[in-house]
Amino acid sequence: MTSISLWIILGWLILSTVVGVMAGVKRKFSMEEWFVGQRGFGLILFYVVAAAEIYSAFAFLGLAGWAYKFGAPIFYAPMYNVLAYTLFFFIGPLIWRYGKAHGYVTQPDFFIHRYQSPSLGVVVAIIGFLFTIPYLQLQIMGTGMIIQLSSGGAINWQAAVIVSSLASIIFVTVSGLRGIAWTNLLQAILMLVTMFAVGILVPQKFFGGVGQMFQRLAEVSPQHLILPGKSGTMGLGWYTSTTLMSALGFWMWPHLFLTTYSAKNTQIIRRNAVILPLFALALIPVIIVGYTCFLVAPGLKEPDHAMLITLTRFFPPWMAGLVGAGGTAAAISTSSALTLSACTLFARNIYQRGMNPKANDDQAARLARWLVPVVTAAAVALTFLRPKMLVALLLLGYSGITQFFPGVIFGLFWKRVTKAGVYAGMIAGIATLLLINYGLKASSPYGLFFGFWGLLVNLAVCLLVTLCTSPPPKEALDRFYAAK
Amino acid sequence: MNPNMRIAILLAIINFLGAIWPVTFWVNRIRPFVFGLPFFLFWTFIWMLVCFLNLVFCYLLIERKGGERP
Repeated sequence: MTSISLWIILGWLILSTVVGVMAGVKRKFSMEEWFVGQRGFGLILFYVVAAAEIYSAFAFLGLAGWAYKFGAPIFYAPMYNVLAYTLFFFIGPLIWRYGKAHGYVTQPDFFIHRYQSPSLGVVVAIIGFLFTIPYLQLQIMGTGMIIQLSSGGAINWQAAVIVSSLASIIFVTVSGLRGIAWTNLLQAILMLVTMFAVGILVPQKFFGGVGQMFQRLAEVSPQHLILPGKSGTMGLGWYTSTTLMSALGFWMWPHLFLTTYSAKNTQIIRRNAVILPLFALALIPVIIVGYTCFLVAPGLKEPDHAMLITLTRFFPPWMAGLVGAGGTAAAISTSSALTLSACTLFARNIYQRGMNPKANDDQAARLARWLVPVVTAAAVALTFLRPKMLVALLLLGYSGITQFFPGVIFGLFWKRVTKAGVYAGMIAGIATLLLINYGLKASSPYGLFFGFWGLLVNLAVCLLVTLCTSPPPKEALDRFYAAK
Repeated sequence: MNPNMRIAILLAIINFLGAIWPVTFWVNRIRPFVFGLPFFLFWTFIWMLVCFLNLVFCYLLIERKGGERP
């Protein structure tokens, strides 16, 4: 019975791989092509590459899992997405314009040139690389879980992880960002369809509609519907700080920088910033499914499994297959982009700019390509050794990446900021969040999100050190800002 | 800075304000239900739509009337 769902997922995986390989197999291999698709993506291709990269395994499993376990605090997710696009509307075109004018292909390229510091570039690359790994791990776990559950346990998650990782290794190695973009065209469509379908069908089946489901929930567990949520720990302070931090940190992700560079022009970026919020609306049905699952199948040990368990238990197998394929699509489209980004960071900024300055662009690009299977295998190994709950992994990655915020934003808008300021702020910020997360063990001060404390310390230190150091040399700045 | 850009930035700030404290303090409630959704979820949904419309305005302000941009 469950074999139908399994074949749907497998078929989808094969189709994605074929499309991904086709997209790039005839293109001439070069750094600009493989890293950023020749900076030639139009409105639709940019939209699907961004949307499918952004909406990951978390959008399916994690969201429903949080709605199930904690309730209302998860509303921060669709909300901050929209705020992140608001920010992108203003900074995206600048990031792109400087990237195009100065030939950046990665995020550290921006840091190196803006702050005239190759070593800062290496540090940013290492931090970006390290914090990309938990996020990649999250996607890999997600894929495994989705396939295991929607096959009704016929395939165990380790096997599923290996098969799906092979698929993404193949199309990323061959086609780079262009391969990711074309597979994402498929993934984005499937994700949208399944998110809305389950959001309407699942409450319909059990309660006769979304309204009735919420009426019931308001009687049974009203804490689920407002802050501070079921656990009672995520109040207004947590909500505001997490929303803000995630919105501000969002475009600091190295893989989203890479994607930004792939746009054809700034108008494409602005148009996408306007229409991306519409994709975020699809997260709300997933939250509604999580709530429904809480009512019909309470007490599950793994909340992240709630949605798929409910589907396989109560719905025909083709539907579990469809959602399984949708979830797998979401996970793979993000993991492939993260892998690409981690490999480019290593090859371009740690190797070419750090260890071996004599290497040319072609050599760096070829190294990046060879790293795809290596990085994927490493992330898979980590996943087998240390699985963790989905959202916790996501928040760890986010907190680290957000520490680039002062370096990027001040770099774009404030000429006075100095290299020393950015350096010191970033290191202080990361030290703070590691201290709170691993050192204190207790809850974060004032209930604010730990990454947010990191960001505050980071900003304060950056400002202070900048004002204590002499202004950066004018000629270099003029060269940088000339692109505007 | 041209005046259109100023208005656009103002709209962007409004987007942020609707999603954080103190606005969340006022909308963090279950009743009244609107369109079958509890109020806080309804607010999240409606505010996402408002943000979208604000961005449409921003786009019109900057790309249409702002004149030549690459």
